[in-house]
Amino acid sequence: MLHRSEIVRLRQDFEQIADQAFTFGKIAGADDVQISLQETENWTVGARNGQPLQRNNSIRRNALISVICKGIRASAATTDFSPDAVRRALDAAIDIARYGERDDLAAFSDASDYCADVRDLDLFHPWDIRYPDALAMALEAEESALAVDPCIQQTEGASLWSSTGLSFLASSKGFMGAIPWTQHGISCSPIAMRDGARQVEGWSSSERSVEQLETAADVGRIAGERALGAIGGQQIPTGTYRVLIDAPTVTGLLGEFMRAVSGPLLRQGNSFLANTLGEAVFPEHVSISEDPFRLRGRSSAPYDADGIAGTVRNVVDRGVLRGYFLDLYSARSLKMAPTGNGGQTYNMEIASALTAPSDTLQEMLRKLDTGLLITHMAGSSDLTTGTFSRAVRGAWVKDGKIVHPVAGVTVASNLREMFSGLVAVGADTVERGPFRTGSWLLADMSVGGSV
Amino acid sequence: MSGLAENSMKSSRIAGARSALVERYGLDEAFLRKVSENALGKWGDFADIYLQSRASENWRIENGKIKAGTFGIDLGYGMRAMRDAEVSFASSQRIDRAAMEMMARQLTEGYGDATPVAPTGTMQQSSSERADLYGIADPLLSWNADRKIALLRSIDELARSLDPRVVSVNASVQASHETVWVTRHDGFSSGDIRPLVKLAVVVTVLADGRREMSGSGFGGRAGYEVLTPDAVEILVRKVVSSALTKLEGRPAPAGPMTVVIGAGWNGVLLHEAVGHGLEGDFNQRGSSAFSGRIGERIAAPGVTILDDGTVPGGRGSLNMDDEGVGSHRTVLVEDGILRGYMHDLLSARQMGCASTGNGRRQSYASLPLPRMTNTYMEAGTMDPAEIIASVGHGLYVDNLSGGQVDVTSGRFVFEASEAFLIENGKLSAPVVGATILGNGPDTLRQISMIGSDRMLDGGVGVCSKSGQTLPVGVGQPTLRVDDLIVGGKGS
Repeated sequence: MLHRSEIVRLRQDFEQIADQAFTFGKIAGADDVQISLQETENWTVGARNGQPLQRNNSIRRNALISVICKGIRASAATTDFSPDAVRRALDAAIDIARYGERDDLAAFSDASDYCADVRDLDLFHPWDIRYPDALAMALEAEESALAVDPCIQQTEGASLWSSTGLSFLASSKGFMGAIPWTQHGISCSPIAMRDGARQVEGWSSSERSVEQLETAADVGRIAGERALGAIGGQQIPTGTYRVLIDAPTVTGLLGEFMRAVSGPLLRQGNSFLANTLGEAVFPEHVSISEDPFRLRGRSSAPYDADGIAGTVRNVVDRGVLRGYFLDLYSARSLKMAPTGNGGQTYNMEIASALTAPSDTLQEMLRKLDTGLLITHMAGSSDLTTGTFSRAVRGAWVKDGKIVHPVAGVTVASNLREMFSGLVAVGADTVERGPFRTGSWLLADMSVGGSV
Repeated sequence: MSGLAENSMKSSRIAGARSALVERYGLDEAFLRKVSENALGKWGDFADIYLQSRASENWRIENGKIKAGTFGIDLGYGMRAMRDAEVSFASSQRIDRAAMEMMARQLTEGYGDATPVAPTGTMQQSSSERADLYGIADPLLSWNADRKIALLRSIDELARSLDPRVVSVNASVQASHETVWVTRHDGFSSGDIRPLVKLAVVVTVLADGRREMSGSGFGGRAGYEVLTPDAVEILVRKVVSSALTKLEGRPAPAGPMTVVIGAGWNGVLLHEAVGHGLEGDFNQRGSSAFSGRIGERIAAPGVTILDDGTVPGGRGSLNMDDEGVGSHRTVLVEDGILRGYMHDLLSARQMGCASTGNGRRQSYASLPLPRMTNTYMEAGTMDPAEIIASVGHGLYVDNLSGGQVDVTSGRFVFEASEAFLIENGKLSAPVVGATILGNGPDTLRQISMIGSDRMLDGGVGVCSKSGQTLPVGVGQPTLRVDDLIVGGKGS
């Protein structure tokens, strides 16, 4: 594991490598050089069915060296940080640049665009735990899942993992930044079995520091309850129903929203949300905020892959789309300002003015009244057209009460219609990846099931 | 090829791998064996070291502009010790004797109190009676930069010239050259050198404010020379025509219906519906919908499914897998009867059988798992046109985009990127947004007709499992499957 003292030394090493690369680059004829260096140490401890299963340790380094030669950008990657290897990668990039086409949009950030204040966002909290203790925690999560119900007799495993790293970016145009970070996690995947049917479900928690993690017992229990709730799913008849999507599943939809308003799709017009800035994409009661700087935030970072800082902002303000997620290249293509989202999504939260603190999942089921509760989705959307069609699992709800689990059905709509038809957001908030949201109550969707 | 030539090809492959990964870093096989033995400690019963280097490049054209590519080298090793099913694993990028010796010591630290066990004997040698399946030449060097750029430009120009509704063309060529070396505690050593090339083309069309996108590609374990002008032209024409067809598409219907699935790449259906569920690890622990069913009839007579790592030049083909076991042609389902699973060394020894050469890993930093190579269904006897003609009302799927499966329940889903309604035995309107859903064991039983037109895909498949992605091949003949759930928003 990398400790704070090693991070300091590593940072000095990285600064030296960057300085050498800038010097080499100048001699070899590059106009500008940008170097991104990363060192990560990971460990994983896994258990299954009461037995230790796996113990992994890995150390990984990666360098990405980009050059601009006569307005042409090219890059080379290496996992060897020795001066010779860095030199070879630089030469390779310069060689490749001879064949590209001049593209001024691909230039590195201007000196004034780089993040001026690399804040310490308190992202570095190494997890110092001995192997037997880590194993005991994994076993505890599994036991807690098995204790939920006799129909849970085995699991696909429980594991603990931890990553510690230093991410470094430097540009010959005048930027040098280093971000020490950690990320830890615990997960459990029990299998429920009843009447010959099997269903695996999982739950996990991932945070910057151990103190923020859900306990092993909670992770196992929630995973077990989800597996129990999903076993024995049946089809419902093909038709049109109201839908409630639980909070963990909604985070997947937010990911699609984010990709649809991000640079790579927008700059080629290949998003169903292209040219919608200033338009109502959600109903008026909904806002979506982004915060790059939350202390210990899972998706906090002082700057992006271009060295540009994000901002605290409302991406959606009272339903209206106010901002895109733009890397530098896409921003220049669209003749807009970069938003510091190059390869980086920050902490996002969706809020509804209609949400009351009492809007638990139970209350949201009451609001659904009769319809389909969705707890799992498989498949992906066509972001060019917004066409949405997925395989789902969940439960049939009647008069606000769960009647039976549902599986083997599809739901279909269009993402634009789903976003604008969002009826209510629950207070049953979860955080997954960069997203924080409650469950979503949606108007009618087409469900494909039995005849 | 004569036996002599085959042997010399194999020996130059192994010598090449030894030179690139072992000798180059001042190592030798005796040292690697000693380190593997040390890695056992008093605890393990099996250990191996896997060294790997991969050079890769990609070049692309976006909106008419050539993007100079990225070139990368990844190099490192992983070391594992096992005791029964328990694995201790570590990986690093520092290839030197001292670092390896230290890793071997640390691998079983904390396990010192375990009752010593006898290491397993020679588990399995690399079977290599046959000729190598692909050349060892570096594909990155097979064409100079000008040729790659000329190819990308010609694709952009051709696609735009085919129809004025084409508004954007993205194309990329990617190549990698991978060298691997395995040494086990029992002294077994072997290596492989693996080329891989892929061309991908994505076209966007626009008409009356409606925008549709379509993409496809091809490649294989070879140099860039597989990207012949004729094959490239066929691909570009097909991609443009699919995108234009989608412009006419109406929303797919919803509900259960008969689905006819076209040949070739659509074998991704089998990959999801059946393939993953027949991987040894899931079956060893009883978590697959196919667990404990060897010898049972699981499909109609006529259904024969293979995993075949020995297809010459195939995207999923391997001279040896990442544990040193030679690739096999494994019969999974024979005439409807479940015959076997796909194994790596671990799942094989837990189930008391031999590895089928399916032990694959994304890189030195990941553990091997039972993974597919090229998975396909054998041809039947029906004319594909007859199969379509047999359907009164249903869906014809010309092209599937990706899919997913939940191995435990057997439920899978995939998206039809190109599909047509079948009305009275004839193809009618194109539909968009068709998600198709089924249950692996049920779907196998619902296959009611098998075409004579078995094809393998063009060489673009990527499979993901436990966070590890790998190149794979898929294939199938035209199939009629009764009663799949189609999910669209039309009626």
